[in-house]
Amino acid sequence: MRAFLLITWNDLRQSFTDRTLLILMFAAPLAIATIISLTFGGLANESNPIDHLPVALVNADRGSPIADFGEAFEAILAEPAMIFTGLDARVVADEETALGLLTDDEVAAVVILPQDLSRRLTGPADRGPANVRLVTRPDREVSGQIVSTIASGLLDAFSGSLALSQAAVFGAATAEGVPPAEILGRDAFTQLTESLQDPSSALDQRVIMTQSSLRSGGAGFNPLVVFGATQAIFFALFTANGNATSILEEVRDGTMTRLLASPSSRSTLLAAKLGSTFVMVLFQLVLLFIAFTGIGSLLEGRLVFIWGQSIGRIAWVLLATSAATTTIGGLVAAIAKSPEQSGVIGTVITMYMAVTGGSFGFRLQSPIRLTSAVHWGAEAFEELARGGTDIWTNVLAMSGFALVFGAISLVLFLRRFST
Amino acid sequence: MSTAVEVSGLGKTYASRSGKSVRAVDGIDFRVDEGELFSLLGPNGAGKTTTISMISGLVTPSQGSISILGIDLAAHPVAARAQIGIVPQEIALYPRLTARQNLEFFGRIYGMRGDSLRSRIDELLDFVELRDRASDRVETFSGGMKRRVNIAAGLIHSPRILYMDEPTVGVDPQSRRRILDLISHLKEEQGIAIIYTTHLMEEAEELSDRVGIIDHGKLIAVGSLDSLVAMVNEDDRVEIELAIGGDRDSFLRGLRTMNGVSAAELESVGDPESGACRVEVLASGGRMLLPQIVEAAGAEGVPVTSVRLEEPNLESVFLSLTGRALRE
Ligand SMILES: Nc1ncnc2c1ncn2[C@@H]1O[C@H](COP(=O)(O)OP(=O)(O)OP(=O)(O)O)[C@@H](O)[C@H]1O
Ligand SMILES: [Mg+2]
Repeated sequence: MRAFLLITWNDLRQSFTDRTLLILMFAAPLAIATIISLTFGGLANESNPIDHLPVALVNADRGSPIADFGEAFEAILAEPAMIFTGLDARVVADEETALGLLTDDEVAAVVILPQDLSRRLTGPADRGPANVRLVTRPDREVSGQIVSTIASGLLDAFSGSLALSQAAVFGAATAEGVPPAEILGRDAFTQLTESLQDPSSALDQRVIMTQSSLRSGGAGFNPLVVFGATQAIFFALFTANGNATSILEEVRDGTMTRLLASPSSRSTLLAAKLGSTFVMVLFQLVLLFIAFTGIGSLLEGRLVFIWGQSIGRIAWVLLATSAATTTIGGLVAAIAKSPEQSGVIGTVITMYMAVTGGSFGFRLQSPIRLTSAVHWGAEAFEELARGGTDIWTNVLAMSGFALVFGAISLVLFLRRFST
Repeated sequence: MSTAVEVSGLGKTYASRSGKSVRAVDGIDFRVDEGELFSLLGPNGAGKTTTISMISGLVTPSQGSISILGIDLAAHPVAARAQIGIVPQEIALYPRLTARQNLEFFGRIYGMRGDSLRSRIDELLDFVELRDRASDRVETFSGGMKRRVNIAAGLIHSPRILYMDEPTVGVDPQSRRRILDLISHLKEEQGIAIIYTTHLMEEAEELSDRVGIIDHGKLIAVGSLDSLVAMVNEDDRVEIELAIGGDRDSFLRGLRTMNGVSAAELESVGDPESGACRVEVLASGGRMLLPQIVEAAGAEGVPVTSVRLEEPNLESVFLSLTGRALRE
């Protein structure tokens, strides 16, 4: 234990006298996250929203004698081949289920078609518009806007097609010399004429779309959460890589020779080096998360705990994230032949995890993201920030990373040092 | 005097990447007593560092046994390692830490603390004459200064055995002198056993009680300087430069009859105008003959301008054992 603490302390004090390293560890992620979230507000924090944007559709429309627009809406959204909307819509039985999916971030938006959609669209305007509701998430504003645009585009198209069919019916009736009422049936004809008698009635008098946002648990959602978490873990990976690489640097510089020649066991030495990396990363993350809380509070003008109030869970996520990050750094160093190689491999892996985990402003929906420690960590922090509690899958995943990678790197290092 | 380090049948084979194996050390035996300085002298790649690494417990031998103050290194590595101080071939210090911080850290790694550690550090900083630079970062030091801290770090826990792997590599002559003086002090005043590797025969000659000559992983000769030199049974060379005048032939004849002289030849040198020439004498015990030679020259009226004695040294021992020069 003495050797462990000594080596850890020795690593830490050397790191803390390295100004460049400190800038990389603290100033860079703070500055980047703050600048991005100030510049883009809540907008850029999202996944690439164009591709497979998940949407839940609740179709309560009962149709009208002339048309069933709800069904058409459903068909168009759910059939990707019909129109390129980029939406990945699933039809859900009721509003409650849909909002549940939205809360769990399974879908980015919910579209609810009202019972009277078709009747309002085909009936006279004076009965008041049908209300198509769009519910979005506060952290997915871009997605909300896209879904809104697509949905209102569809409704526009429906009213356009309605006008066309009206023209067609009357055209046919005139040509055949048959009263239009006989073509459509009396009720439908009455409706159609009623709507035609009011040709100025614009679409927005027949249907409106209201947009609301899911309430995020208590405190308003802060873009710093998404940027802060992904940037912090991104830079923590750099720290872990750098610190673990110091094992190889000590080999190159010969100080490892002294350590190995001292009366401490090999496993103590290696555990100490990984331990110091863990402490370093944990320290960095804790400081960054505190700093983000400070910045968030400054921006809001009052004290806001942007990471939520559950200190215990925050600690769990911090520990698991630090452990996963540390062992990723350790594994890279264990595989690499030289400090230089470790730096290069480490950068590649860090970049990979940053890209797939959402550090660069877009979030993948593909399962590839599950390979990224940034994803697992940031997702858990966002969950906590939202007031949620569902972090244990993430903690488990990151502990899994830590156990597997930690074990492999220890074995590789022990083998390397017992020539 | 008791045995500090005893090595028998020690060997190391490295598996190389190409599939061939490198026999870096090939079954060597030696013994170093307490208070003795034993040099391992050999050219680059001879296996010096590999040997040091094995007897420090850094590299596991492929075969053979190592005993440190009677402790079997393989069986009790931690206890054995505690007795050893090492001065690695490369400078093994943390550049961003000060000299004092480096010594403090390595001292603590060996379990030292408090006042005893502090006073040991001061003692060593005085010893390597770096007390005034103690609080400067090692990265700001000159090569020679770093070498001295490197030595101090190996001594921090007052080991009874010290391994020094080419501790003067890459330093200027002045710093080398200082380091060699430090080592002489260590040996004489502190009585610790030192195993010293070098590829410089002057260093081995100056410092060693005994020398082991290592080449291609094999210890080809071990002994005191005198015994090694005696072993090659080579004559001393005496070079006498003469100015013009006197009876040179009679002088030469006189030289050839002297006791121990096996040959004496006249060689003309450089400038024929001056008529100066050189006589080369091969003899055993050349040093004893010098007064006699000068006397004979005086008797024959031959003016001697210089006399140079070349005794066989480790260089010639190496040459005669391997057919190669120590320095390529
Ligand atoms: N880790 C290793 N793997 C493979 N071969 C090695 C290894 N270490 C040393 N060797 C080889 O073993 C031989 C002896 O090397 P060693 O470093 O012991 O020589 P040395 O006498 O210390 O040389 P120098 O004077 O250059 O320091 C060399 O041929 C070297 O290439
Ligand atoms: Mg060497």
